[in-house]
Amino acid sequence: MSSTLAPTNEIILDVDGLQKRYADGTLAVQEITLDVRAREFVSIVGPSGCGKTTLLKTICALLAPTQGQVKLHGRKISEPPPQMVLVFQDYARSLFPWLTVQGNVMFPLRRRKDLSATDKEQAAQRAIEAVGLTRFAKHYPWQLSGGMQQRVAIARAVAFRPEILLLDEPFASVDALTRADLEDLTLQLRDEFGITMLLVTHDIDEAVYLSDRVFVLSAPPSTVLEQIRIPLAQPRDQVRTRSEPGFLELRNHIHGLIGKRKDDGMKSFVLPEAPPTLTLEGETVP
Amino acid sequence: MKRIFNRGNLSAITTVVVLLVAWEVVARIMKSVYVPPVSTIATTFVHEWFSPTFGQQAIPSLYRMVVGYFFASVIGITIGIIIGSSKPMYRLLDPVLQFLRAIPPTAIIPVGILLIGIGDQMKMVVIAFGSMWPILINSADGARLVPTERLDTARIFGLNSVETLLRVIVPSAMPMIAAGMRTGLSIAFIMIVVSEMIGSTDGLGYYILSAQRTFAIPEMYGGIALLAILGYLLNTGFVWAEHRVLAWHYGQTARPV
Amino acid sequence: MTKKRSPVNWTGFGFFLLCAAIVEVLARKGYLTSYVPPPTTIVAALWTGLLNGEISSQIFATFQVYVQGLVLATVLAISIGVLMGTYRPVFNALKIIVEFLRPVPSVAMIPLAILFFGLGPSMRMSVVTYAAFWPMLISTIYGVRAIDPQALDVARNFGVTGTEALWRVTFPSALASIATGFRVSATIALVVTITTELIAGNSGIGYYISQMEQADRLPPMYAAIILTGLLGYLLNTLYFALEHKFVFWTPAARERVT
Repeated sequence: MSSTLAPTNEIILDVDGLQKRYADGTLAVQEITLDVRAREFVSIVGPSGCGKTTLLKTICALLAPTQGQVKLHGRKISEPPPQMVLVFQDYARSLFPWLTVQGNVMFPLRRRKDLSATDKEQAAQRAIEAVGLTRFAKHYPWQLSGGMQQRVAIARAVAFRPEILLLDEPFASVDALTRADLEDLTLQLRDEFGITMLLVTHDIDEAVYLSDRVFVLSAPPSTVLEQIRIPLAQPRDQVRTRSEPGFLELRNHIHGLIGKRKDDGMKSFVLPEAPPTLTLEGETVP
Repeated sequence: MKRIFNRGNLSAITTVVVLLVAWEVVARIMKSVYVPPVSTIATTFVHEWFSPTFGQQAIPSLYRMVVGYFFASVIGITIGIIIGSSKPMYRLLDPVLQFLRAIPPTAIIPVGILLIGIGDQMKMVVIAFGSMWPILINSADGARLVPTERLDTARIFGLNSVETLLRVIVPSAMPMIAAGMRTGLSIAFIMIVVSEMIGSTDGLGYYILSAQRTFAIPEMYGGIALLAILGYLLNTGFVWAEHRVLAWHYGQTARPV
Repeated sequence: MTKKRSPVNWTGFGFFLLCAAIVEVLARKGYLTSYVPPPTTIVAALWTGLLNGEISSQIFATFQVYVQGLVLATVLAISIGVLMGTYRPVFNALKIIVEFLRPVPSVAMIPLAILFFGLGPSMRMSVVTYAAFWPMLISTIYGVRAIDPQALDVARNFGVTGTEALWRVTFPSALASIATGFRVSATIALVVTITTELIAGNSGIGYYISQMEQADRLPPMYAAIILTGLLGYLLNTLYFALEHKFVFWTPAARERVT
């Protein structure tokens, strides 16, 4: 693990007081403030439905915030910047079925007039190698399994050489074993290419395992409940890291944070009155 | 080859053969002008269509149809994709399009005759008008239904609107466009026959109608048979081409992911 | 993430009226080669024609042919379709005939029909029946084939077999598919009715259109053309509503409500 690729203290992404309201008026994100440092692995965890996807899309300027702003290297962004790439949860809908794996991965390089065709091919090949799909470069995405398709999506993002990779619950649609492989893959990519990672997930264990810092979100309309530093040893290892006492402490703490909010919510939930039942005779029974 | 001659197909072929033989026998017995024997029809068919008549009647029909269909496709796909990609445009044009497409294209032929007269152009225009609608509507739907993740991906990778249109929207919409084009082809085929029956001095539609009027009955049957064969070839040809161009689509739908 | 939109498309209708207004102005100024009359005259002709019976009588004639042709097609398609769908030997015997007759455009049959029926409603009805027959046949076969075999087993358990099973189990299950096929057939039937009237009719809206074209009476001609579009649209809406009412149990029909 080269120390030159370790996380620094330089803040490259600054999200300040972000609020996002849907067109129909519902408040998805109430107020989110967070920051990401160069080459850091940051996770955002929260209960389902807390607007995590919306948050991520707003951060990379696919959506405009209702309030607040996002600054990349100190400058406010209003259009998706080339330094950020978002990997979607639903790989089937985001990959292009009419292109091979190689075609998909080369797609982002289309606009790069400064690269020759061979350069582009090599860059794509390198990305495909990095995700372990060299054998399948000429296959079509739909010929591959779910986990492999997500790798293609990640390779496509990596080929674009972004500074920051935003991942929207990327491993939610794959089985547990594949998920472990993909988790380690993201760590590898961070090490190999020096990419900063911002991952959104509902899986607390995953967040703790992967990250240097975790932001815990409340239920919608979401705010940041707490920011937690993860001081666990690097490099992470699926077996060793997950059995460290520190790991369990951290995950339980986060569980408590999110669970408590859920409990609060449930205690204040009042059951509506059951409708009266009609008997055969027509008399109502409460 | 062996698979073609299995039990099921044998039964089908037998039925056809039996029916043809029955037709031949009954026709010879009845000696009705209206129902000539199959053998007569067959000989007339070979005599007519393997001769200059094919060039005089069938080729003009096919030519008009292909030209009209070509324009229908180009216009339909272009307008359809543009409308489908832009929600405000879609809302603006929707009622006008729904109105125009509800009119049966054959009813437009008298208008065409009035405005353009009887000639090749009228037929091509009318064919184009008729077959354009399924192509346009399907293209618009195809463009509309591109998964947002793909459009977002294009934005993230910095593609401008034109590139997104050509590199993401059009390929995504291809399956639907192809379906629209297949429907459009059947309509084009119908339109050429009808337009030649109403206002023409040559062409297959004219041929079979005038054959009936001049009581050239075997020729009439032969013409209808030729139309059937052409229709079948066009459709099969289109499906074959579609499966090659859209191999990725058919491969995808064959294997559930 | 959609903007608040009213359910009625005011922008679209506004644009439609704008186009009509432009055509109106251009036509009155004589820019449209006098072969496209002002829309107001077309509407007026439609209104008058409906009231004084000139157009309404033709609507009646068209409908007679349309309904008769469609009904006959339905009866034939469903009976043959159920037989073909249920009994493999029947399917096998007839499938080549279906495959080759199906793509023949019904209009190509017009000369044949004239030969046998002369010029008149029966000729047109036969062509309509031929055209409307195929979509419903195919969807009936499909609907019957797609029946859950368990349904038939349950029926057999209760002693329901043979023709009774056909009527009480096979037919209702296939109804959804048949209903869709009916809608397609009905649309085709209307277009074919009008087309045959155009080509070789002596009554009906299509005949009226060609008469008006020959007499150079343009507003009524256009009025009749637009009327056919209107009728098609109304009938289609009607069939959708009926289909929904009678085949409410399928997931597809239920989805459309919500």
